[in-house]
Amino acid sequence: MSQWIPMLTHVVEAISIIAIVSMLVQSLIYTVQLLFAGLALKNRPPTTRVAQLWQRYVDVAPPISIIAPAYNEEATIVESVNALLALHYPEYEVLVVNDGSRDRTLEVLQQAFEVVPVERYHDLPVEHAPIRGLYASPKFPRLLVIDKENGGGKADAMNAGISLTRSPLFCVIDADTLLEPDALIRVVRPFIEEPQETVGVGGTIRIANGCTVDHGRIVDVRLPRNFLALVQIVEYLRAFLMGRLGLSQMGCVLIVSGAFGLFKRTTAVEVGGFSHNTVGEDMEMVVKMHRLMRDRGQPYRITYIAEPVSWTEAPENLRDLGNQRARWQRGTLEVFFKHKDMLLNPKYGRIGMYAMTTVFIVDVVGPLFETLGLIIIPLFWALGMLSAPYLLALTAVAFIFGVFLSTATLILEEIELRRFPKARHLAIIAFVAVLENFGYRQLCSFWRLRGWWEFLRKKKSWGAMSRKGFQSS
Amino acid sequence: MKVLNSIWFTSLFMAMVSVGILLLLVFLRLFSTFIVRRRARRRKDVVRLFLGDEPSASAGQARYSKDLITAVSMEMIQMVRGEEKERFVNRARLLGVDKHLRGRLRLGGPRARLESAEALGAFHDETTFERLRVALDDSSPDVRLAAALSLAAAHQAPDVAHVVERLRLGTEEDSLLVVSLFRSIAEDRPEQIRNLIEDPAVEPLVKAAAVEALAGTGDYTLVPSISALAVAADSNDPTLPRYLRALAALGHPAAAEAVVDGLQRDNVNVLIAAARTAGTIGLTDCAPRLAELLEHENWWLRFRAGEALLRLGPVARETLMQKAVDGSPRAQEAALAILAEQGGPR
Repeated sequence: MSQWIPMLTHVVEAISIIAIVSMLVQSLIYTVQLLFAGLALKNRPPTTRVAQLWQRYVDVAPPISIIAPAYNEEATIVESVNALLALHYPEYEVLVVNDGSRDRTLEVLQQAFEVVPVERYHDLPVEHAPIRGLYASPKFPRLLVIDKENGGGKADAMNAGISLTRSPLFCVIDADTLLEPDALIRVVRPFIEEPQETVGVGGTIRIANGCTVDHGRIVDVRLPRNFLALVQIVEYLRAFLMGRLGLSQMGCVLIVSGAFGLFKRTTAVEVGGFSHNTVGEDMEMVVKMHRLMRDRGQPYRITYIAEPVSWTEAPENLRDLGNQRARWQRGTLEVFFKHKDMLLNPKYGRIGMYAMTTVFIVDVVGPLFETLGLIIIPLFWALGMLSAPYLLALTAVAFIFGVFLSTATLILEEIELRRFPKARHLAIIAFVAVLENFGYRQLCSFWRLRGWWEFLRKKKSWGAMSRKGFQSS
Repeated sequence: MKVLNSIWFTSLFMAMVSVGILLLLVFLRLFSTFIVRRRARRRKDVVRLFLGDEPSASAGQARYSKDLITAVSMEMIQMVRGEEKERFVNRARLLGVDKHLRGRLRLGGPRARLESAEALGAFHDETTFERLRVALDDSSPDVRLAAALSLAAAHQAPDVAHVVERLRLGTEEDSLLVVSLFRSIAEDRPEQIRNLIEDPAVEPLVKAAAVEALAGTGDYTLVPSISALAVAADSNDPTLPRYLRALAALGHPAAAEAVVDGLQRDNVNVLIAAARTAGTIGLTDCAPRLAELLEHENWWLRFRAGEALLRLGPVARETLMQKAVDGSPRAQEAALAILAEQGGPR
């Protein structure tokens, strides 16, 4: 037995080193993104007032269809649709897709907006479950309700919206997304400035928990009392203001969130719309677009801009949050393995060489090594089998670097968006940014590992999330 | 041991930097909250000064920052139109806003230059025009375009060929705002925009923007030129559908030749644009061809063809109804759905 102990110790040390190196490499990747995010911030155009934007864009802004999938949303759908119908944009329509809801979503829409059955000649360019009926009302000419059979996921509902849209651009949102009134006129900018090249644009998504909502608008930004919601605020800031802003500056955006993204319809149709066989359909849409445009050798642009802001409700309990994170992980893995031939493939330029490599390191092998390290290092150290001061020191670097990144992201938030009205909010967020490293990050690693397991088991379902609803004024 | 210490030192350093940043951010926010409140109070004063009897630069600048006076003035100017706007612009001049903006356009960073180039569009005087003309050579394409738009809005844009060259239109710049720019210039000098259309050396994208800009003016004399361009364009030229759409906007039957020609092309985008134009202009002679296109495999083309037939009057509508009865399944579906959508019989 005793001769096994040194060997086991070496193995444990090796695993620990791999885990820590993985964390450090990830930190390096984040540093690069942070630097590029800073550069993007330096080069950003001025934040123009809506009145001026309107004046500038009113004659040239292309029509947009907003696709809002709704599944069992009877409680909130009227408020959401009213908010969508009151956005500031010259020419747009709202396509509400009732995805075979089991509740009274359709009836509620019929009553509230007096929509009646109508005909609309439409194409079927992308795959989705059959449409049962279309509803509209002369009182709300911008609104079209699409009633369809449930297709088993958001992708199916969004595809039905794509089939019905007659606008060159479509905007996808979640049923619980609240768009700021000027979100559309801000997010369309790249389509106006570079109309030939731009095929997709994403905006910022923020957590609405704790905020006061009135008629589908955020009227008072506050922090939630729930710790999980708080920590997600930090995560979202990091993901958008550091991750996507940096990747956008590098020309490497791989995700335009399905909760708020604007796409060119023709390109979306060419790639077959949103895929059904993945829960990462929003990421896959973008990867497919990259692939198509690069295969054709056609110049294109998929970008992220920070100013257009939308708000969403974050899960407030461990079960829902865990399910969400496992699903995100599963979605990323599905997309990665589906397009693994792009990895380090020079044909796909920076997408293959950098963006896909980043996904591989951070999302594919990252959770495996992280979790392994998290379990093995403390366990064997406690058992006295691991006397490794270096490991502890490197672990500390990795942890503190996480705090450093969060604080750096807060700088970006303060410069770019400044949506938190009070200094106290900032102090709380800053404190949470430190706190998340002790327990929450480790929990996330576990959830991501669970996502891996679900991926291997080929799980396809989304899983339900209980929603608390927005806090009305 | 040295390496180990360095690693711990790195951690400690990053931790201290992080804590420092966090404290600094909170402190700056507290400070900026104070500044914002003070600014809000001062803003009210500046609004009063702006709307008061006789604002003067010396009175304003003695107490308030130039940036604040400029921001408030521009907000006020953007809120009004007509004579009121002129009055506000004059008040802003008295407060030295135009001078401040010109200075920022010359020496500011890219964001400040862009803001200034846009804002200076409200000030119509030779010094400002001169500054904006210089900005047409700015290193930032956004600033160049903003300066051109401001000059055009003030009816002071330089010669169009000059604008095309300085803004690198069609090569580096293809913003949709170029259409707005040409539209503004066309209000005074439509012939210059017209020359762009007729000049074979001009980039197709610039030509298409010029055509779209002119289409909005309703100048029917342009129809032969645009038609000629459309007829001469290759089927795969991406600007051809834009020419056809411009002809639709002009809505003159003299475009018939280009539309008929477009309806015979083999590019589906051209066919779609031609079908739409045929309906908009009301070219009844195109009805048989539109009926044929109802059989086409492309959905958009079937939709535009059906929509056009509906617009062409009773005879064409009759053709559409006939297709609903004896067309191919695809044409039947299109005809039925389009008739139903427009409230016609099924």
